[in-house]
Amino acid sequence: MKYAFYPGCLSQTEQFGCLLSARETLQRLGLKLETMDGSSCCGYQSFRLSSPITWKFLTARNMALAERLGLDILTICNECNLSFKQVKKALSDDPQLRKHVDEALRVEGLEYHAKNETYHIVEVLHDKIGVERISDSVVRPLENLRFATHPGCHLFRPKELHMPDEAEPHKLDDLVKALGAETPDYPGKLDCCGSSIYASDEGSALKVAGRKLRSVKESGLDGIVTICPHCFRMLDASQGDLEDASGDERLRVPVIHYTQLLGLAMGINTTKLGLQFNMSPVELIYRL
Amino acid sequence: MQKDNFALRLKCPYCDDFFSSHRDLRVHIGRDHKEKTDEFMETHFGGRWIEVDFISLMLRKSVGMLTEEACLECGGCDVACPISVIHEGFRPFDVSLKLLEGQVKEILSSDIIWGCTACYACGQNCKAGMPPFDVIETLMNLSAHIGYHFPRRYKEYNKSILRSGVIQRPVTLKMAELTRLAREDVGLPKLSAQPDLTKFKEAMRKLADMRGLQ
Repeated sequence: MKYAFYPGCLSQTEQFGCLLSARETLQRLGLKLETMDGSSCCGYQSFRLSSPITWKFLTARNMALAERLGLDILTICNECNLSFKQVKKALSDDPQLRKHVDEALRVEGLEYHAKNETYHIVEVLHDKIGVERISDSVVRPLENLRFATHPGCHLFRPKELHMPDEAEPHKLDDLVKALGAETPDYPGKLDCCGSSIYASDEGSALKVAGRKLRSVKESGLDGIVTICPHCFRMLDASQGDLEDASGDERLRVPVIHYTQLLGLAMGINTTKLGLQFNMSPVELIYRL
Repeated sequence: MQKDNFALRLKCPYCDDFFSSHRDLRVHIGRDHKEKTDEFMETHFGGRWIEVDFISLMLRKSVGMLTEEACLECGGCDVACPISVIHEGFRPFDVSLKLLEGQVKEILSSDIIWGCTACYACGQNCKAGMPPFDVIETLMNLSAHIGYHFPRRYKEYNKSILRSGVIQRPVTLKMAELTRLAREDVGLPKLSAQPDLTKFKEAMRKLADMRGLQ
């Protein structure tokens, strides 16, 4: 299986743990990842709100680059994935928009024909590689560990689009269970992490994240497993800010990205998984 | 009938006629005030026709569908919203109600809508199939475009995309050189090459010309 690999801005510029561990584990599972040279931000975060046409152009541009490579896209980010899905639909629904986008694409000699598929990493891990093969790759089963899974909103909403997971998401849970750990339910599992308003309203974003961390802590679980770099940053890196803001030290919870956890179970060393970049007390997990 | 509450009401600056769309107003100016066309285009919209049309079309589509008959006013969106219990003032249901009362301008001029995280949870409980998220996104577009409100950090993100192709938060940008130097030491994989920035900017400029923006 070969894919055009589109990690998104956040994992390339900040959340290196997500990028390192995703590349390492996917390649060990036999995937070939082609770098998408010349790709840019999908525009979902900021241009979607200020100039919808620019957002749609940026996302279409990345899809056109993958078409040129003749490959389907594999992204590790929930937001980029949603962006691909929404823009694809918008371009097929609105010929006028398509005309404008095509014209701008021609400047760089690009063409978009809606030929290639876009996949989220969960779809590839769960549906293409399969839970069984992932289970077979485990050399250090994560027994006696109980995790709170956080699929992230854009893995399964909005229900109107064909999203990577179903309305009652279970794929991330399946993938964690394949490593030998348990994933009990906890209150607010499907709630937002707050990341999307981090840029416009930091205070509220921290409160939203704090509620999630509190819920996990009170449920007595060993840590949170995320699959989206945005959720990962919000829950992992904001714990310090949250502590400063609320003065509540009890909100320290280990947060680990799924591919990091997968890597640990596959026996890959922590540096290669970028665990040194996690800001939450993640060593509590891998020392267990 | 409820649609009239939030249908656009645009007054012609040169006579007392009203219009329900920018397109109609523009046609009217071109036909009845021919000598004023250039002045009008310049002073009122700076030629930003395509994007204004585009957004007002979305507004008519999403907001126009929201009528008193369509919204059951059950408040299910508020119950599902993970922000409304935390964020003082942000209630998706309130946004819907204000729209039903035709208070578009009030919503736009406050920064309330910017509390929405686009988690789409409000769509799950909406029995009428009229979830507020679509409407809120369109209102954000409109608010940003008219110039009421657009969060500072998003502006920085936009600039960063134009400058380098990707979003780099200012704090990361400061560390960028350090990260570049340290990249191999910490075993970071080679990144994808930047877009050809000259051509990339040209394409963006082309798009901006089409949108009629600078």
